[in-house]
Amino acid sequence: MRGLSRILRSGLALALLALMAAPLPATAITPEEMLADPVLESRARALSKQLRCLVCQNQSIDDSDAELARDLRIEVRKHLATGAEDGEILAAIRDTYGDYVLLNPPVSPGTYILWGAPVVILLGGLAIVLAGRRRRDEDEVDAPEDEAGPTLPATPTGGGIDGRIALALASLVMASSLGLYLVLGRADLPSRPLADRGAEIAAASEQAQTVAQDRDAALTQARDQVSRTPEDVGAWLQLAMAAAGTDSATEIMALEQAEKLTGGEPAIRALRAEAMARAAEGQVTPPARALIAEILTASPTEPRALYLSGLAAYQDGDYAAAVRIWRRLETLSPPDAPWMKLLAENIADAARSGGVDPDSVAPVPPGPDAEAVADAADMTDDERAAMITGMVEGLATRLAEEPGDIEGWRRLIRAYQVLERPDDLQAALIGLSDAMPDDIDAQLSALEHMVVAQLEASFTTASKRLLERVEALDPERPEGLYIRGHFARQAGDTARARALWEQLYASLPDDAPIAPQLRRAIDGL
Amino acid sequence: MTKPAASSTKRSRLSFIIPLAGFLVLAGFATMALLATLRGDRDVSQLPSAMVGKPAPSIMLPAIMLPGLIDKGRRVSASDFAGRAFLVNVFASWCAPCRAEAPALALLSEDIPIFGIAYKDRPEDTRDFLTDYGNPFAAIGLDRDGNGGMKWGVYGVPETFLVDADGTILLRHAGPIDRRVLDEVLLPAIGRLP
Repeated sequence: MRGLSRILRSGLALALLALMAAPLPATAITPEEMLADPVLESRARALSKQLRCLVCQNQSIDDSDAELARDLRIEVRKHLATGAEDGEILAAIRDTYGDYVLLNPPVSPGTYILWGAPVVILLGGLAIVLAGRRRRDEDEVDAPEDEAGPTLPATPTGGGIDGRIALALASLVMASSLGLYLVLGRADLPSRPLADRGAEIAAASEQAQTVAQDRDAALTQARDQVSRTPEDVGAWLQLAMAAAGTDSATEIMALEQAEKLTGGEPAIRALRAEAMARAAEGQVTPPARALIAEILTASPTEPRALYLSGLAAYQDGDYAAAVRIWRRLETLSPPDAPWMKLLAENIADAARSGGVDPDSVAPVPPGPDAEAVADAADMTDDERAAMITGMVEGLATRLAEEPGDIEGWRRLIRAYQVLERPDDLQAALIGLSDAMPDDIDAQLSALEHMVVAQLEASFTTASKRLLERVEALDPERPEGLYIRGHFARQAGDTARARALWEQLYASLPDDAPIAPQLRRAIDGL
Repeated sequence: MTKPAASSTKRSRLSFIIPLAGFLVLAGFATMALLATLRGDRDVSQLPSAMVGKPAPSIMLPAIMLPGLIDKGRRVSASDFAGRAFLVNVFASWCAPCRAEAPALALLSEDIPIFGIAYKDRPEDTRDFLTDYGNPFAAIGLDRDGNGGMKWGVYGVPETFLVDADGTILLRHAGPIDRRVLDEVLLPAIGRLP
């Protein structure tokens, strides 16, 4: 079984490497933030470099991935688009966030000490040197060699020359340190790239320790990012990558979150199956197998799931099946896929162990979308988004044929929430309400969203149906009373709206925070 | 060369004392700052707010009427509270410290109306949050894209502002309201209101 362990380790390590090879952005700015006008965009970048990210505090908003930094970058661009001057934009942001938001602090009574200190120190240094020089001039009568030392000739002008040299040297040191500061130390300069520091770090600590620290830092950073942007699939995937190999519980949890956000993307589910196998020291456990089976039912060409499925067969000693499944993956993969060499070794190993001739085992013919899956390896974010959209469309089409699939509707709703498509989300919410007509919460959610997204006019028949169900299910439910009143007002039936809201008002406890607002709303009818 | 003049000694002592005095002054400032941090008087995470002393931003936000419901026809803003002092609490359902400060807000809501700003939140999630942790707010505005928070100079949730009856921001606290902040900062400030 040494072959097995080798296959397992190298195989999974390689698969993970392939995943990690996905390029990371070099700067925090994302393409959709950019302005179309290159002149304005370059001004935006220059302004962003002068503004501090208040979350990370020692990065500019141009460098920072924090969400507030992104908001500020967008704010800067909004101002630019209205034709504002750079100074006006900085002033507007400083007005809200204070001097601290500017990386180069302004001169104000609060910063006089800060700005004045270098000048004071410079002048102080000058004063000391001048004082020393004058003392020499005075002292030279008594003890000309006092400072210059016995070896220097004691001429009447000797002290003066020494003083001038000292003065010149002192000013030179100060001027050059000022210059150095302006070149290297100014607060609005970008932080030095990590690569520059590589040598220092390597010299300072053991290589292994560095790796561990980097990993911990990456993990901490990924956790921070996730807590800041819990809706961002990419952030969860980053966390999963950072946790891979050290903290499988976190890795699996992060993948689950990413899965939820994408409405069950097969590629991510396959990653989770792999993580589960890695957590079990390479054994494809029964829960992992169940997951793999699910993935392959929904998308029979998911490469990672296929690989794991072959591995499961190998671990069962079913070498013929392992060869068959891996050969299938081989046929589906592009010839230059990074895993091809390894896959060939695995197939040879399984064939040897099982005494089968690999060429006699026919791979299952590639499915219709084999090409699409093969391309998935080098997709850009946009293409991946398009693929997710395609999968969501598939789910929507299926649900149109089988409208009773409550779980399916829930998945579709989550997907539309993530994709921020309010109209489709509304239709899906109505679909779920119709699938469970006795559930008042489902009806209310659909109606609430209609109000929130102002879609009342586009779904009049549906809203009528849902409102009737709400009334029939629980005529006194407060949310129901409010919504029914709202739709009555929309329909112009003020009397009915008033009656419903008055009924709601009467049912509220006296100290309900909402009561005064409801009162005003009723009075406004 | 072995006979130092009196004036020279005096000056060289002076040129030694001046830098020493400068160093001691700087060290004194640093020590004071360090001690204040250790005592808890000075929190390095608390950035100065530019908003204190300024009028409350008048940005109008869609109102969340009943928990989870936005009425896009209705908008709320700080000016709805004109004529009385109020608190502004910027919160989000996805923010863990916001859960921790829920009891403090419930307590405060007995003394003073609180204007809630649901920062970068979905109304459904806000509703679930308020159902689970209670609704201390007299009015809630939905700040879907964080633009409203930006007008208030918010850089993270939760943040709390105290605004007086004239609409001037008196105080800002970034971070959750814990026992110390409640007893030593917010309640005394509310007590000092006319």
